[in-house]
Amino acid sequence: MWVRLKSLQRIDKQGKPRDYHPGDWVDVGRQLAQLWISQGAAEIPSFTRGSGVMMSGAGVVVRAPSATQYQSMFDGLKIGLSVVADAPRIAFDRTLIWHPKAKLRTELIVPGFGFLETWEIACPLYSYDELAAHIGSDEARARTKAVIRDLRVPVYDVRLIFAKRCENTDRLFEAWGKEAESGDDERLTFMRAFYKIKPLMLALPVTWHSPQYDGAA
Amino acid sequence: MTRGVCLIAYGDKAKLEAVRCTASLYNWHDWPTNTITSTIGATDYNDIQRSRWAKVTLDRWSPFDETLYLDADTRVQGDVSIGFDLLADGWDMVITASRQQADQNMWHIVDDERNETMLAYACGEILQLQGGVFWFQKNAATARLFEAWRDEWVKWTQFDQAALLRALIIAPVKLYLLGYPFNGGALIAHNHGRAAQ
Repeated sequence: MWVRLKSLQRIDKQGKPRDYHPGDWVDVGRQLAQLWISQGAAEIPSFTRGSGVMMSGAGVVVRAPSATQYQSMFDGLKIGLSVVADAPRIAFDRTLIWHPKAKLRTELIVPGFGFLETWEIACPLYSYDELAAHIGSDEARARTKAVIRDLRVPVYDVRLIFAKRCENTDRLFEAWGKEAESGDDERLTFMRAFYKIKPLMLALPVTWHSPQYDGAA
Repeated sequence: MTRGVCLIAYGDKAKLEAVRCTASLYNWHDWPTNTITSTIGATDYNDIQRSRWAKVTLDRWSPFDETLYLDADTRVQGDVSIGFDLLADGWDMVITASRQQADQNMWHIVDDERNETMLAYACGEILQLQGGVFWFQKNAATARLFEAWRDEWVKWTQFDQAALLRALIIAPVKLYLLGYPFNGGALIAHNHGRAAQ
């Protein structure tokens, strides 16, 4: 977990101690990171532009029958997020669409919403190694290739999407809904919709849903 | 609409690598190539810095409307025309993601620049992109991106990848990601650093 230090820390890197200074970003274990944050020794800065207002109109669509059991996760952030249960849709000006099967790293929710100051949508890659060519049925891949031309591309983990309400994302979700009627793997149907609409996308690393990922495969 | 391939080669080793790269390309495609070997702009840079400055000024010197940029130490091993097809479909830039993520993210970038880049995103978990192979088309969006890329690169005058990430905040483009076969894989092999050895 990457945090920005606010104090001097000595950290072992590959068995060797090294001093890190305030302002340095370091990747440490989650527990240590949270301890430092609670002590004021480190931070995950809010987005540098517009951070004061960016949470107004922000909310979460949980892809589950009910949002009740997840409400406390978001309340704990103390940023006043509205939470509803629904199918993927842009329910708020800035919407996190989350499927509970994906690990949610709550410390990344604020940065995720912050990216929407610049991009229309932000979503982690599913894998660096498992590409569109490796997902879904033969028929689904054929339908996808007919749209995106080449399947040797990474797909997005659509269980975790940050989206800003705008014309492009409205069209994207409408197109995704139509593609989903095929019943194909939703990562492929999303790719088809994404390719057709071409919103400004910020692709995020797989660590957003797989924090155990340990670097180059 | 013109399409072609640009390479950068400063120094004897880089020039040799560029020749080999171009030869590999011609096994598959007959696109015109343009290898720059003369200094652009500042003359007080070393060869590595000159090559990176040339990369971030590609939009100025590439003679093509649609450009495939290849590091000199890459080797084309298959049909890579898909990149141009994607540009024709409306993507501004096509590139691959780096597999160096998590605690390997920007491992080669000096601490100050890595810190500044993560601060610009207000987040340490950002996707590093591979700068050694990419396609782009000349348009207003990529002109803004390259201008921002130059502005960010001159702050440290070292590697170009972190500067590209910061530039994308200033000037986001319609970016499409290809998979690892296109940089360091079956379609385009990458002998990282050979041109600078």
